[in-house]
Amino acid sequence: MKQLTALVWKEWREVRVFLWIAFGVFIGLPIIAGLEAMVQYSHRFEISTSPWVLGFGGVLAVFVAVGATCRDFSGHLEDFWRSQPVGITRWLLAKYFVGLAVVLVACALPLAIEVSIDRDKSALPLIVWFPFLWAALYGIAFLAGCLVRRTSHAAMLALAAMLLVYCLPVVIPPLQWLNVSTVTDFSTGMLGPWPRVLGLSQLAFAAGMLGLAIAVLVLSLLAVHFDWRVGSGRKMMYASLSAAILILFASAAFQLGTNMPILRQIDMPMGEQVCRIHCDGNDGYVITRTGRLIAPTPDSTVRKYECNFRTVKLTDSGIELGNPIRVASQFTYDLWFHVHAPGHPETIYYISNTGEEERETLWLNVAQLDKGIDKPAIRLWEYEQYSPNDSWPLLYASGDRLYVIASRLITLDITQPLTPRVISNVPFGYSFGWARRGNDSLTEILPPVPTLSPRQRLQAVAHPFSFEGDTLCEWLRVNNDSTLLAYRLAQLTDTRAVFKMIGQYTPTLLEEIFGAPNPLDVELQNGLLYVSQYPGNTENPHIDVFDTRGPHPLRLIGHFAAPGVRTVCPLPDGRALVGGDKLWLVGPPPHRGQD
Amino acid sequence: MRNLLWKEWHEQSWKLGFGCIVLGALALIGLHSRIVADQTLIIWVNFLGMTMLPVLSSTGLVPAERGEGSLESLLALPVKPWRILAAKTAMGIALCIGPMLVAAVVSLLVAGGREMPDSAVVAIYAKSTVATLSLFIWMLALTIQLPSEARAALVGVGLLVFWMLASAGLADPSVPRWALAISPFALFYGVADQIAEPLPAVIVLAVQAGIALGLWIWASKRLSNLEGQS
Repeated sequence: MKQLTALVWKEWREVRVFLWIAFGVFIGLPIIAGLEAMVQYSHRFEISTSPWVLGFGGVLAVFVAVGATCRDFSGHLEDFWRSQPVGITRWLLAKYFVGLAVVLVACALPLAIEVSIDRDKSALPLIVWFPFLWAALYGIAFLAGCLVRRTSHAAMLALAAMLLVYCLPVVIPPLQWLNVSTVTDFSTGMLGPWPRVLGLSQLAFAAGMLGLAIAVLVLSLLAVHFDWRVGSGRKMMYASLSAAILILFASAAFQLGTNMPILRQIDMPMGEQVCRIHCDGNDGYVITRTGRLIAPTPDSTVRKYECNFRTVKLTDSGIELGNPIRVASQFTYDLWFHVHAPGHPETIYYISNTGEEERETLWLNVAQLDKGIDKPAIRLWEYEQYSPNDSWPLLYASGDRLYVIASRLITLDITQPLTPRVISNVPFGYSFGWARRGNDSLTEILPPVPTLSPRQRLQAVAHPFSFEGDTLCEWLRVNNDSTLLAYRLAQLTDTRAVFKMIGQYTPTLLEEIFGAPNPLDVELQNGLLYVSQYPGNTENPHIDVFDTRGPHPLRLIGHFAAPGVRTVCPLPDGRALVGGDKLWLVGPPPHRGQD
Repeated sequence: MRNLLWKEWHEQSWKLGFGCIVLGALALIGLHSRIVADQTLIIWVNFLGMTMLPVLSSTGLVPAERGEGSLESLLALPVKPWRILAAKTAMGIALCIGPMLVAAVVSLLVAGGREMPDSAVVAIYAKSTVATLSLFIWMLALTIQLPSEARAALVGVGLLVFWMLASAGLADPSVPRWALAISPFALFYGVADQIAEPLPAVIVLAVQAGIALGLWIWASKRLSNLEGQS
């Protein structure tokens, strides 16, 4: 017992420096960031240690294990230890467990501090399940140290192996139960303070990692016992590192590669970029944008954007674009909340504002895109931006009626779409505001417009969002978290609609590396959700397609990456028009889920 | 000279294979799966080539020989030092051009004319290759007297960082336009940004060739000094 205590004391003396360094990085730096955030943004101190621990916990495990092994296996130190009256197994086990304890304390304590201080308790599953991962990584690095016995080479090999532990389960379906992301499935940070922790997939992950840790520990003991060694050199290092990087890249390609075939494509003339697409089948239109220098000097980077309307026709031979018709540049923004005149897709209604920031005048605008005509048609009312009783109006068109719904209810006759005529204008007292997102259910108060059915009232409310049938989807961004949520209509009455959450999708680490989520268009068609992600021209703009049907809604089933992709318009037959630097007609994703 | 070239080929050919496999595989996987837009992926591959190949090639030529203690034997041969350096430079150029050439061919075969015209793909690879060669000559000259490959690699990485930062500064509108021509990244700079008006390629190539020649002569003299010391 005394002998073991001495061994533990010796190991602790040698590895404790890693603990202090880890505390400095995992606790010290987040404290500084938390203080800075408290002074700048809020008066509540919150500490975010989990990004640091998740990012560098594995690296710490590698460094501790490699340092512990290579230190005593270099030169004649190994001979010294073998000559001591201490069993090699006991010596190695003391080394292993002291180092492992340092790694686990260094990683788990910062997470515990975050859970105890922050309102968001999403780090809790990490404390429970990630120690198994760190133990496996530590064990692998320990084995690398025992076999290679050169610090830098063992560390490089262990880091390459760490990449494989993270990425192979993503690439190889039979290994998916070892995927790190399964541990964080219950990490519902934005959905409530206390996430659930225990699940079958988590238990399987923990068992797998524990098994791996035990296996590499046994191999380490055997390697030292039988004096197994691996001769390492430059070639081996280059090969192992590049192989790991290629496997990582291949796994990303496997997960995020384009699987929607290009059926037709057309270059946009005059450097125009497609910003909006409207197409019901074979005919439609696009709104394009082109940037021109206001003062074309070499030093000037100030640009003026011009917007064009072009008709689009899908034919058997290709895509036909119409001539450009100049439209106001605001269409790239205000068209998000427009409505089409029924039967006249080129005629749209939207609401604009004029006047002071706090008290504005709202106008109903009519734009005839194919003629380039856009004018305010009717003055609506004075709008107080920060008043709790006033909200931005909802627009809803049905048949020959157009409804403007908010603190007043204005009903217009649009038999002549270009000259809407006010039929009634009455105080209404409706203020629209979506319920807090992220809850398991959300209830929306519907505007009690007498001439509209409950379903039409719901359509008026859900119009700016992705709503089809009974499914509503939304890409929610809270702080730095980005999550796609799907709800299904559970109850619809005259006055309210109740939705239940049926699915949630959080982008994986690989997806964030290859293009941080920045959704522009979110369109639902035939149960498939098309999302255009535009993180920037050089940061992988692309389209993601999710299946909202079946027992597991929001399965990622399609991906299409192409230059400058900004917008998508799914067509009724399963194809989709995608706009960016070109206009592409793409086929449906290969797995149609529940079809 | 042929013997010197054979020696370098014998020692460094595995690096050529390594570079070809890494860059070619990255281009093949990325363009085949279309994980990002073709232009973005090609720029990634080129950026990796520009950062990896000069370090890989320059550190393995002279500093590695010094580290292994074989440089003195080499300099003791009845061959002028500039010939030794010429053979090493030729091998280094092959190490820089070969992988870029393989990646370019793979890119053209997989994605030629798909999103970009072939000429645009070739232009990006050509500009990147010029930058790679320029960086290689810089690293060769600055690391020729270093005692080990590791130190040379550190200097190489430092030089990369320096030129990246310096290129951003030289491209600032307040700096005369021609000043960017001295940067190894002069042709590559702004390749992803079609707004920028690039410098005429002839001027950049002439400036880069002049700099490379000057650096090489300086490196040759430093190697001759080493011979005197040994």
